[in-house]
Order: sequence, then structure tokens, then C-alpha cells
Amino acid sequence: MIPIAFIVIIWLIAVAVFLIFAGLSIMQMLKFGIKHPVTKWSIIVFMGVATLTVLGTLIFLSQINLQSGLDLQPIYESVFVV
Amino acid sequence: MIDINQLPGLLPDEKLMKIYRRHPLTLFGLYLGIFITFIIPISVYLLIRGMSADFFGSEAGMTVFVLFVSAFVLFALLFIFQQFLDYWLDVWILTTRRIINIEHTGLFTRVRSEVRLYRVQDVTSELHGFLRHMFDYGMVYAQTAGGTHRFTFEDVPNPKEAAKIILQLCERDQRTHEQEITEDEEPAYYKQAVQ
Repeated sequence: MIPIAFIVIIWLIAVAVFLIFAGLSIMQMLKFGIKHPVTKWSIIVFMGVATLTVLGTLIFLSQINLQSGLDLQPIYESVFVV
Repeated sequence: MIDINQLPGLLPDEKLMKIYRRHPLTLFGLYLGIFITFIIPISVYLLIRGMSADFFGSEAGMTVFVLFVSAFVLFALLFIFQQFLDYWLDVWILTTRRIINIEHTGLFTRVRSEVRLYRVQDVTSELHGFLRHMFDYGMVYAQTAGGTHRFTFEDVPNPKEAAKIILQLCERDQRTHEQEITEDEEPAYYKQAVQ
């Protein structure tokens, strides 16, 4: 049994890593991009899709029980047990 | 952001002529990234459902899948944005007096080089390969006098036309430069007499 809370922590670490690299990329675009609508819109679309993904996941997480666990036995059996 | 109308070290009478970027077809990594972003989550979903039919019936199974897809989409999005960044920030700026090349390789490496047009002696366009012929994009090489420096416009659209424009501007700048030199060499007493 793997606790769901443990998987959520791994996801949060992944989101933190994403935020660091996303921040650096946006900074590069703002600093060195040529003044042009495409420069602005690419940043807006990137931030918009990322925000929607994170918010959607957080809304989903707010509706589940973090105390439950994941049982990998059925998957293990279907792959390795003949 | 860089204001194209206020380039650093602007020379007298210098005007922006054209901005060159690689042909959009060279953004293969970007297209591949978008394709994979859609394909992988669907493939994983079908694979797990094939292996264990009731995996998505449990709350935990669904949660793991949602978290996986969420993290995957975020990093795929980052990859796509990086690919676009690499494309968008690599530019060749052609003005009436010089060529400026700004190139980004990686997140923290930025190379900026420029050459005065009067120094350019030879401009060559090159179309090499099937795709380049089909979609009319290729290399343009601008060679400076003495062969000390070679400027490469990578995979720019319509290279033949680009080479023609560069060559015309080079000839014009060479004439302007010669005039500037002649004016500078005039003795001071001559300048005073003219005034």
C-alpha cells in the first residue's frame, strides 16, 4: 500500500521544480525577447495553461481522501503472475 | 524586452530593414512536444486499463493517474516553451548599417555578434536538402573582407531574396562609409574655409 499523501508530496516537488524552470524561462523571454505581441502572448498562454493544470489538479485533490492508499497488487498480478 | 527601434549602439542614419528568424518548419521539437503531450497520457490510460480494469474505479488509482498527467503536462509545456524560446530569441537583425546576430543556446548562454555591412564582401545563399527546396528556406552566408569572419543566417525563409537584400545594403553602406572616410580626411583648414 502506497499512501496517497506520499504521491501528492512527490507531485508538489515536481510542481516546485517546474515553477523554478518556468520562472527562469519567463525571465529570459521578458529580458531578451523582442518587443512584439507574440512575445507577450506566448508568456500569457504558457502561464495560463500551467495555472489551469495546477488549479485543476488542486481542485481534484481537495475532493479526495488523502488517507487512502494505492494497492499495486492487481497491476503486479496482471503483469507478472500468469 | 528589446526595443527593435532603439538598438544599442545605434549609428547615424541607421534604420531597421528586416528581422530574420529560422523557418517555422525547423520547430520540429515543438511539434513533437505537442504531439507527445496528447499521446502519452492517453496511451498510459489505455495501458493501465488493459492491465487492471478496476484501477480507475478506486479513488487512489484515479488520483495517481491525475497527478501523473498533471506533472507530465507541466513538464511537456515547459519543454514546448523552451523550444519556442530557442526559436523566438535567435534573431538576425538587418539594418542599413550592420547585421546583428543574437543566439541563445541553453537557458543561460547568449551570444551576440555584429558586423558592419561595409566589411561584408561576399554573400552566398544555400538551399540544401529536400525539405529546404520544398519550403524554400536555407542558409545565407555573409563573408567579411579577408575571410576573418563569416556570418551565418540559419534556415531563413527565402534565402535567395535575403542574400539579394543584404548585398544591396552592403553596397550602399560601402558607398556611405567611403564618403564618411573622405569627409574625415579633409584637412581642418579646408573645413573652416568651407564653413
